[in-house]
Amino acid sequence: MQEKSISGKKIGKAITSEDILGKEVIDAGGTFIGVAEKVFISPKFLDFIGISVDKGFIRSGLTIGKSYIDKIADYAIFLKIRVVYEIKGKLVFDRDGKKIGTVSSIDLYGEKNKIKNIYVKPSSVLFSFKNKIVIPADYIENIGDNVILNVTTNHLSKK
Amino acid sequence: MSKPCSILKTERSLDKTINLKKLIGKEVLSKGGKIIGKILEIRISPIDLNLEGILVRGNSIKKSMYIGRSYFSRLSSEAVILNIEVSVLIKNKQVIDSKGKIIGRVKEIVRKGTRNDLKGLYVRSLLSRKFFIPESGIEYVSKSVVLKSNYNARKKYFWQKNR
Repeated sequence: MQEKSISGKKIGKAITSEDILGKEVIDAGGTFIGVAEKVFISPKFLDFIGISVDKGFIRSGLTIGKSYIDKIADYAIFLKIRVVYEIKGKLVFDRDGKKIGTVSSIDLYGEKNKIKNIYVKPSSVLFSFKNKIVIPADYIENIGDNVILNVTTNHLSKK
Repeated sequence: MSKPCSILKTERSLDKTINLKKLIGKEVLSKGGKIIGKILEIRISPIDLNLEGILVRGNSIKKSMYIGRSYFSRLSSEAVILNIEVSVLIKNKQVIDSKGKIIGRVKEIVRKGTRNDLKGLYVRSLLSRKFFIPESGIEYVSKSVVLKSNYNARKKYFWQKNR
């Protein structure tokens, strides 16, 4: 039997929460972030405002706003961004390629996907007296498999 | 050690150069900080005496690689940082189509001669035969290989005949 509709709009092309939940979430770097587990709707405007991502047993979940979603495809949800939290655990090298340590935590600008500072657990003897090195985002040259800075270790040790 | 006497014409002074001997065994990093391997040899041109490239013992692939100077971004006494992501290291990365479907893994890389530029990839999944994806069908390569929306991967399964 055909379902009756009183939507006031043509909703034939709309997707449902079932089309979102359980789908893999892939960031702009092709990294599988996790699985969409919740859909958030504004109680005031009744708009779709974002999704919650389950990253598995060990890692804590993540909420991603609508503005960071590129498209909801048949098999996955693609993001427009590389999730900055994925930087945790990456190695940090100075501009000369000298290993400084590992990213232990990050500071963001509010709830945006923008890094303010990274906190690095030092592996170098040079910083052994420090528990953590705070590196501002301006010093980051490139983030890929690891992190490369645009300053030397000497510059950081002077700070 | 006392400072040696310099005999130079237009060359850089001693303190502005790098001791290549100390570079042997140091790490080679890609543009994104991936550890490619360690420097085995540094090769110079016998004609103009310029540095031509480095021989690298791969970290993730056992075969050694010879990387030309034009792919160097920075050379210091600590490491060599490249200005590229090495395309031969795409092997075994997952390939995802524009709909988010995993269509297989990279089994072979076809490059434009000896350059780092891709011509295409051979991809295979558990049940499919090896098939070719040209560079024009690739949106980007990072953690995975993501294909363009207009590219329709023609997967051929084992039970389908070769034409």
